[in-house]
Parts: sequence; structure tokens; C-alpha cells
Amino acid sequence: ESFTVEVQRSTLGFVVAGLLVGFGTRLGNGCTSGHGVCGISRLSRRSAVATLSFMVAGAATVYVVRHLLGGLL
Amino acid sequence: MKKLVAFGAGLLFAVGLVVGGMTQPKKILDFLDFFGSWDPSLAFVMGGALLVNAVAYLWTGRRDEPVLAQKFYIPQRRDLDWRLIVGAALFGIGWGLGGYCPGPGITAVASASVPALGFVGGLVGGVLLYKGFERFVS
Repeated sequence: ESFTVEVQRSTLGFVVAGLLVGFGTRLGNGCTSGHGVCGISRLSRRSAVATLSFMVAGAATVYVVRHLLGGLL
Repeated sequence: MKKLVAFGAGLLFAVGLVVGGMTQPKKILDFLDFFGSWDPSLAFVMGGALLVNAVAYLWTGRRDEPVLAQKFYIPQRRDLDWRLIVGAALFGIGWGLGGYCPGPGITAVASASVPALGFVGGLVGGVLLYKGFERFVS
């Protein structure tokens, strides 16, 4: 249902994910909501660049973890 | 009154995230899995939110001040710097690893699942790490 995880990831994996998200959001002044929704809707170039950066990074990470590392971590 | 409105906004945001399936990491990871089991749901959630926000931004932009505050706090920066790009990239890696970002992660704490709690714990740690980093750099 609404909060199911269904992802094979160790608890440490989720903690590290949180660390990266926490640090990265502060360093980059935003996240999917801040840059992706609010920033782009007011046509901010900074937000468009940030969104592109995290989309590429996210896709690359999923590719590496799922397809190269076989879902390990 | 302002606190009530803020609470209501948070509630609406959380409901939207849950209904949109954003509190399920698998949905996010499937969206980012362009070469595998791709799930476009996130694009619709983000797109819908973006449209609503664009309308709200234009509509409220006609006012001189907001209703419940002294002024609008609109980010003014227009420069592109390494912090923006690297910060977003680090965020993206964490996002692709856990399938959570701040809003959904915090909302998912309601389920008291170990992944959500671990993620939010890491989130707080990451913010504290950043504070230390900032102090170290300056």
C-alpha cells in the first residue's frame, strides 16, 4: 500500500541515501520540490540546471545499482 | 493563522505525495530506471505540481505583498555555480539510492518503516554535515 518499500536495500543504504540527500539539498539549495517544481514553474535557469543535474545523477545511480551491481548495497 | 495555513499546506502536500505514490521508493526508482522497468508516474506528479505552481506564482505575483507575511521570499540568484550542480548531483545520487527525497521521506515516517526512519536519520545527519562543511570552508 501507500508506504511499501519493495526495494532491496540495506538499512545502511537508506541512511547513506539520506546523508547524500540532506547534504546535497543544502549544498544545492533545493530538491525535487524546490527546484523541480517551484523553480522550474517560475522559469529559473538555476533550477532547470539543478533539476537536470539530479535527474542525470539519479538515473545513473539507478543504472549502476540495478544493472551493474545487480541491486546490491 | 499563519501556522494553521502552514499546517494545512503541509497536510495537503503529504496527501498529494501519498496519493501520487511518491512515498513508495520503488515508484521513484522505476522512474529513474530509464533502461529497465520504467514507470513514468513521477513525471505526471511533478508535471501536475509544476502546472499548479506556475498558475499560483503568476496569480499571486499580481499582489504587492502576501496575505500572511510581510513580503514574498523569492530566490533572486541567477548565477550557476559548482555548489548548485554538485549539490544537485549528490542529491540525485542519494535519491537514486534510496528512492526518497525530503518531502516523501519525512511523510513516510508516518509508517514507522525502518527504511523511512533510516533515511530521515541520514537526512538530519546530512544537513548537520553540511553545516560543519560550511563552517570549515569559511
